[in-house]
Order: sequence, then C-alpha cells, then structure tokens
Amino acid sequence: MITLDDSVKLSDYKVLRNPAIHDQSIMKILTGKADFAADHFAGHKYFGAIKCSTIAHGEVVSVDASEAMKLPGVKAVITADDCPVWNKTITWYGQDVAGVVADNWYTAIRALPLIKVTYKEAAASVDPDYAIQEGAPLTGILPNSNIGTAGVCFRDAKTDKRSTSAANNVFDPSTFNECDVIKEYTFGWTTTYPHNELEAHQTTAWWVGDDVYYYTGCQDITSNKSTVANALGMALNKVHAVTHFNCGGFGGKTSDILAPQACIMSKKVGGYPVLCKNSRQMNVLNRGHNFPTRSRIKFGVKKDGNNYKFHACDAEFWSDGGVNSFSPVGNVFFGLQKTYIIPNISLVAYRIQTNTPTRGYWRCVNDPCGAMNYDSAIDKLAYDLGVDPYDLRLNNLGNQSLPDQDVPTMYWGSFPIKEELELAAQKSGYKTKHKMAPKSQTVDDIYHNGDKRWYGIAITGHEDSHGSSSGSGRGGIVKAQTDGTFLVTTASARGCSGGTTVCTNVVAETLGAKPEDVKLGEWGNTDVGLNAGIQAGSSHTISISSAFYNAAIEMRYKIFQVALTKAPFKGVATSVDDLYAEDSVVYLKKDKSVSATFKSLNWGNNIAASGQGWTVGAAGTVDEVGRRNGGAWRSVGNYIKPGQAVYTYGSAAAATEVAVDEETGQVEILHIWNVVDTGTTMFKNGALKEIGCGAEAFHNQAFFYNTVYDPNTGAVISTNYTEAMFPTYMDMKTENHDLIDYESFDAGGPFGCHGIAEPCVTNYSSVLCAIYNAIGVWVDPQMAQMSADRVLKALGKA
Amino acid sequence: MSEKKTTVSRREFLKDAGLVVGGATIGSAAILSACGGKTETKTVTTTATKTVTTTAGGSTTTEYVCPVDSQKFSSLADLQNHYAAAHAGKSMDNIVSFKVDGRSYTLGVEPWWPLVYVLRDVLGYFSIKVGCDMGNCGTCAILVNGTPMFSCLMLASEADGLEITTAEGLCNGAELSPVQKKFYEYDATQCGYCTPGLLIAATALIAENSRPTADDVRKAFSGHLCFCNNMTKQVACMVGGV
Repeated sequence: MITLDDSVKLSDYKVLRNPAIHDQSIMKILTGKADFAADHFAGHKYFGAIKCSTIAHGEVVSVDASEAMKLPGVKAVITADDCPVWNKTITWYGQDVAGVVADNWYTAIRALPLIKVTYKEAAASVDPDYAIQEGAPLTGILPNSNIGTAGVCFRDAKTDKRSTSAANNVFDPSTFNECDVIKEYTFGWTTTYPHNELEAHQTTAWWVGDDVYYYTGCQDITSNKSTVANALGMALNKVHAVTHFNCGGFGGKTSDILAPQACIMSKKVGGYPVLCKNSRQMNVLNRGHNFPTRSRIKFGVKKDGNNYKFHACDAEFWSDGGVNSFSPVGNVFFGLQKTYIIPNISLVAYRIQTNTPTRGYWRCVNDPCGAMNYDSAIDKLAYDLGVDPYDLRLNNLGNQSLPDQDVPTMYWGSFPIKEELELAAQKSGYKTKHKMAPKSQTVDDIYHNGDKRWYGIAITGHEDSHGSSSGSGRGGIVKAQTDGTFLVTTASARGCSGGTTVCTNVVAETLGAKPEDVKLGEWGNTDVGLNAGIQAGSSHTISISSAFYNAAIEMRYKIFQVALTKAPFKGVATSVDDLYAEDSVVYLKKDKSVSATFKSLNWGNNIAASGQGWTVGAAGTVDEVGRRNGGAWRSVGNYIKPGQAVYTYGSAAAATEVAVDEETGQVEILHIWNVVDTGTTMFKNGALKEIGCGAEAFHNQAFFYNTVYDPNTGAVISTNYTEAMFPTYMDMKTENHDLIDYESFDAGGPFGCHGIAEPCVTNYSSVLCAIYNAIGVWVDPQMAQMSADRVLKALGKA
Repeated sequence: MSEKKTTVSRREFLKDAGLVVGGATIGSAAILSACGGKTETKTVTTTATKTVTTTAGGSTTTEYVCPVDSQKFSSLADLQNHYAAAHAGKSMDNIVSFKVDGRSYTLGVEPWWPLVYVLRDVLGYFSIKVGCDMGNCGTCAILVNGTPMFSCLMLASEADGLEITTAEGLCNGAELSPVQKKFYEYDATQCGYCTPGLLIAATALIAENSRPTADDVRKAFSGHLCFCNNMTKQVACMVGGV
C-alpha cells in the first residue's frame, strides 16, 4: 500500500471530508428555479422538431417540404442543405434528415410526417454478429470493413516486453503450455440501454445581429460552441453558449445536443428564439445507446499451494459501436490488466460498426460491460478450479507497494483494491456466508425467517479506468468581492455530484477563506468563463478543481500584494511569502498577532484571477506565482515526487447477497456493500451520493435496462422508458445498500480528492456471480437482463 | 408574415434566470413570488393577450405583449389594433380558468394542448419538466387540488376550475417547505431534473401519511424516474416524515 509522505499532514486541511453542501445550485433546484436549456422565453419562442430517417442505410434523394409549409403555424423547414452537421448519407434508422420550425411544439411535430423524404436505400448490417460475417453489407462507417481494432495490450514475461500497439504483438501463445490448468469462457452480448437522460437533447437559440446565443444542455460547452461556430462558419466570439443546468450528462451530452440545428432554425426565422428539442421517441431513436459487449477469455493458471496463480490470458472483446467511429470501448479489459498480475497477456478489443444509433459513454465509465465479462470470468474460473473466488482474486492481485509498470511513466497514486475487497468481505460476512457448493444454503439457514429461497453471495472488484484525468483544457475564474468574499466561475454545466461544492471548497482551502465566503458566480456562461470547461463532476473533479486551485493561488498572491501595502502589514512584511491566510484572515507568519480580515483589506472590486487545470500524466512545474501545470501533487513514498508524472485511477469492490426463488426465477437483492476508493474527499456527502448512484445504476443494468432493435430495420423499438425497462422506485430496496468510501491518497489532484463516478460497475458482475453461488447456473445476459424469465431459462424451466 | 428579430439583449441573456413573462390572461392578479421575497406585480387585460407590469427601482413600466408573435406595444389600444389586423383568423374557443401557486389565470387554449405545455411554455412555470411527454417519468408532476398528477397526461382544457401547485409554489414565502428542507439535508438532489416532480410526490405523501415507511415512499415515488439513480437518498429523506 502506498502511504503518505511524512511531510503531508492532511489534518492541516480545513475542508477535507466536509459534509456540508456548499452550493447555491441545490437551492435553485429545490425551489424550481434551476434553468435547463428549454426553460426560457415562455410565450416568446418558436419550436423546432426533427424528422428522423426511416431507413438504416442509404442516401437522401430529395426532401419535399411543400405540404408541411402549408400547415398553419409552420414557419420554416430545414434540410441537410441548410444544416452542415447533417449528412445526406444515412447510416442508421433515426438519423436527422429534416427539421420543422413552428409556432408551437404540437404543430411542429404534426408537420413532420408532411415532409416527404425520398431515399435510395442500401443494404444494412444492424446485427453485430451479422456485421462481422464475411460478405455482410458494409455499414458505411469504415471504408472497407465493419470491424475496427479499438485497443490492445500485450505482455510477454520472458522477454519483459510490453506493447499497446496492434502492430506489435509480443504475446507468446506457447506460455499456455506452461500452465497446469487452461480454461476458456465466452460471454454473450451484455445488456444495453438508451443513453438518454430525462432531459431530452434540446437547445434554445436566438440571434442578436450577427451574434448567435443559445442555452443548451451540454456537458462540454466549449467544444459545443466550436461545433456551432464551425457549422455556421462563424468566429468563436460571435457564438455565445450557456449551460446552467444539465440533466444527468454522464457522457451522453458531450457532443451534439441540437445546438447547430437550433441556431440554424432561429436564423431561418429571422433570429427569433427557437427551442429545438427531441421528443422522447426521437431522442431514443437518434441519440446514444451504450456499448453492448461480448467476449472470449482464456485463462492459464499454475498451481500455487492450495490456490492458483494466473500465468497467461488471451482475451478478445467485441463491442457493438453502432455508427460511432470513436472507441470508448478501447479499454474494456482495463481492470483485468491492471488489477491482477498476469505475466503473459494478449488482450484485444474490437469495435463492430452497425447501422444502429450512436453509442455513448456509460455514465462516464467506458468499460462496464467489459468489466462484467472479466469479473465474472474470474469467478467462473475459481469455481472450476475449486477455490473460493475471493481467495483466487486476493492471490493474484498486483503488488500494491509498487507503481504500475505497464506503460512508461505511469505511476499510481492510489491502488487500494486489496483493502477494498477485504473490507467488502468483512462488512458482508462473506467468509461465513459463502459456500462453494450451490444450493447448499437457503436464506432460512442464514436468517431463520422461514424463507426457503436459495441464498448466494459474491464479491467482485477491480481497478477502474475512471479517476483523475487530464485537465489542461479546463478553466476556472475567481473574483474577489468588495465585502471580502469570492465568486467562482467557469464555463461548465452545474451538473451533478457536488462538483461545484468541491470547486468552491478547493478555492476556500487554497485561499485560506471560510468556505461560506466562496460562492458561485456566473457558472455556465462561456462569455464570462475561460474558453474551456466541462461538467464538474465525476472524473473531471480533479481536472476542473485543479483549475480553481491555480486560480486561487493567483488570487492569494494578488490579495497578499494588496495586504503588503496596507496596515498592519505595511512596513512589517516585505514579501507575499511573509504572509498566510486562514478563515478569511491574513496573518504575518512570524507573528500571528499581526492580522487583518479579508474584508478589512478593502481591496476594491478589480481583483480577478484565472487558472488552468493541469495535466496528470505529464511532468509539471510551478510558476513564480505558485500555479502548477502538471505532475504529482505531493510526494508518495519513494516512488513519486512532486512534479513527477502521475496518473490516478479509482477502484471499487462490491459484495452482493441475493435470494433466488427456483420456482419463479425471482431474484431479490438482500444486501449490497459497495466499497469505493474516493481519494481523500473534499465533499463527503457528494462522494457517498455518487457511490449510491453508481451502485443503483449497475444493478439496474443487471436486471432491467434493455434496448431492443428491430432486427430488420435497426430501428429502436423500445422508444420509451417503460419499454426500455427503466426501473422504478418499487424495484430498489435502497435501504439495503451499504455505501462505503475508502479513502486513499491521490497524488494527482488537489487535496487528494479524485473523481470516482461509477467504478461500481463491478456490481453488474457481482449480481451474476451471486446468482450462480445461489443456484449453480450462470445466467449470462445475452442481449437481455438477468430477469426472472432468464433465470428460469438458465435453470431449464422456460 | 415577415419575421421580427428578437429584442432579447445580451444583458438579458447573461442574467442567471431567463426571461419569463405571463401568458394570455383575462382578469387580474397581484402576486408575491415565492422563495425569493421578490415582489412582482402583474396587471392583466381583458383581451386574449398578456401584459406585464414590472416594478423596479420605484418606477413602473407596462408592456402590452402579443401572445402570438410577442410584439410589444405601449398601449392596449395599439395591441388590440395589431391583434385584429395581424391575427384576424386566430381565435381561441377554449377558455379555461385555473389557479397556479395562488395566481389566477384565465386563458384560451387549443383543445389538444397538454396542461404541461400551457404551464411551461405559455405561463412560464419552468420548474415543471418534460422527460417523456407520455406519463413514464414523473418530471411534470403537479398537485391538482392537492392530488399529484402528471401534467403531460392532462389536457389544459381539463384544468378549468382547478387549483394547481408546482414545485415553485411549495415554499412558505422565502422559506423552504419541510419537504424541501429534508431533500436539502439529505442531499437528495443530483442533476435536479427529476427533483421538482419528486418534491410534488413527497408533499402529497406527507399530507396523507406523516410517518411514511420506506415502502410507502417507494409507492409514492413509483411513477417517477431518476436517471442519476439517486434513489437511495431520495427514499431515505422521506422515511419517517418531515
């Protein structure tokens, strides 16, 4: 276990583990005043609706809007000729082909079917297994194939060679010949779900002269602004984008959220405000869904006393990327590769292109389906070997006392997976409850409550690719108020998870201000923020809070300069280095009796400071003011020194107890223990909340979510929340969730707080493994949930 | 019809809250806005249009706003003349009267307009959200005579004579209601999109059952969805009441 350097005294920090919400956004939400993209211009705007393609592959030959334009209330129709972000080449059912502007929403959607679109249809591949067959129609995404290599990892222990290049496979397959046992497992397609937040994609745009303005529900305002500027051929300073609140972005709102369309629609009607939005059905048809994944994982193990050691692993992962050409699935094997010592590895991830809608990140995390596969494969392997899966995991964990060796200069600031697994076992009573033989215990055996269902328990866990991330693109501003308080501002959606609380706390800690003296300013307005920003939550907590750290450092420098010119410091202190601040009071270092409150310094109204986030994974330096531009935050043992390149990722373990009714197939989750590495948190409640959200999300993925495609057209059939199997409150006994934050050290971010988001992805697997432990059959989720009918099917009863 | 450019200024754009005006109204009302202490006076006319009177800095400005094209006029007569000339074929036969958060409205609605559309996009009650438009998600929940309803499943023409409460109307003056306070204490919000609907459901629950169990809360929230999956805190904050 990496431990803190002796020189680091976390007790010195005032805001660490602060449970208090410090975020005016919460009050806006609770009083109904939180403004999302569509919450503007009542009675003072037009409405834009999108017509979706009704073929999966082909070309738009013509669009006839004449009948639509005759409908009273219709103001304009736009096509690909008006909208550069649209393409006349159709690659999925539901793609944007035209838009209507009308004086009310219902007229707009009534006009859509009056637009006559003529297509030249081409053969499509909508099923991923079909798409990779020889002779399958090309989807039109890649030039000559429907398969793209998304990511690789090769290791050869004998030569100590490592490679993450597809062209340099250093893996030696003969290493399997050295193994005592070889097992291979395949998994069918994992579930998927419509990556569509409650707030459908929507933007309200209008023009003032040659400038366009818009409210939009986007996590990444700056890149969205660039998209609009490029689409409209405008200078960036003529485009003004704002996202105040944004419904559960989770990666689904990082790109196209109808902003160019809304701007073009508004321009078409003389600049009048236009709310361009998707209905629920449109949103499901034409926006993101997550990546279903299937895999083949071959393990070779060597006997190690009463246990086994991994020796070789050859695995392939396939993910259905729809029309996406990017690869968030490129690291689906991340946890397998990082959590365990596997000397010889060949891990390859493929992205299959199909004529189905775009794919998005799964609530920020890029590999939950892959994690489900490899976490479950390890349990399968353990049962086949006759050892407790928990023991097999512990016996093969990476060396916790050493930095990661996989990629040059890639050091780990936290890696407490062993402690997390042990804590999950301790809290759940795993060793008492777990039996190797299925159907060996009923719930009654455990709880003596007359319940004869079969009982099962499992613990899974892994290092997750979610954690600290590169943040040089993020910006933050701190402005001093005349009353001695401060406002923080950024071009970032307020979003979720207490990100704004974290940022204000970072500023308070760095400045030496009282937390209540740091408040939110014009959050979400690119016009007043730096030309950068993304939603301040989850993974990006560090990257954006590092921007505020730097802004606060500059602010501290500036107010100390003011202090040097005023009593009681004038003539007593000669340098800003002679001063420090605490609880909104400036002190002379050598004599604490010499002090002045921030307010008494009367610094006026012209002090502002800005900071840019630093890049983890690169060596850093500190400038003359004290701002950092990268590298480790503090030293860690003998391995990491301040300024040295460092990455930090999160990790998590989950224990799940289930009761399975063999007659009905019903599975009840009796209890969940989620242990998540949170770093050293700034905002305790926010971290716990995020753990809870992740825990629920991935149990929902196990039992509920499912996107259903028409096998012939590729159209999403499950276009509403009921059909898409979104769980309700009736489906979750949340009081049986134990949320445990495991505090570790984060070398990459300010105050040791790192983004956690949803490494609870391991819950998906822990459910599957607990069901196996109960009834002795694997309910592999092949394009469906582990629902009662699938449990019965696995038992041979349906 | 030639389109008129917007009169929204850059200054208005940068304001934290968007521009919100009243809807097509008949009658009159004076309103004290909730949870902000801000005094806003609305004077309304007897035509199917809307006027907004704002009091700021001791001076009063009245705008007469066309509900169809939002053009503003300095007098009622000018507005009436404009309406007769520009929108001669525009009539609204369905006239309904209802109260929202204590304010009285009488307005013309198209027979197919859902109540959520009128409340949000005509009257500006933007705390009511639209997640599905088909009764799946609960983000548009309101209290109708004290009963929680999904406003996307009600026609505006059905709202005649009803008293409607939105999440904006739950505050006691500038104070949070007990339900809102519990949501705050438990940090039961996440992105905030589902929160107004849940506040409505929770308020109705507590009115009927002052000491709900977790199962009671789950039932009360069963028509709602939280995409952020913050159910743990949302259920916990209402168990045992306020």
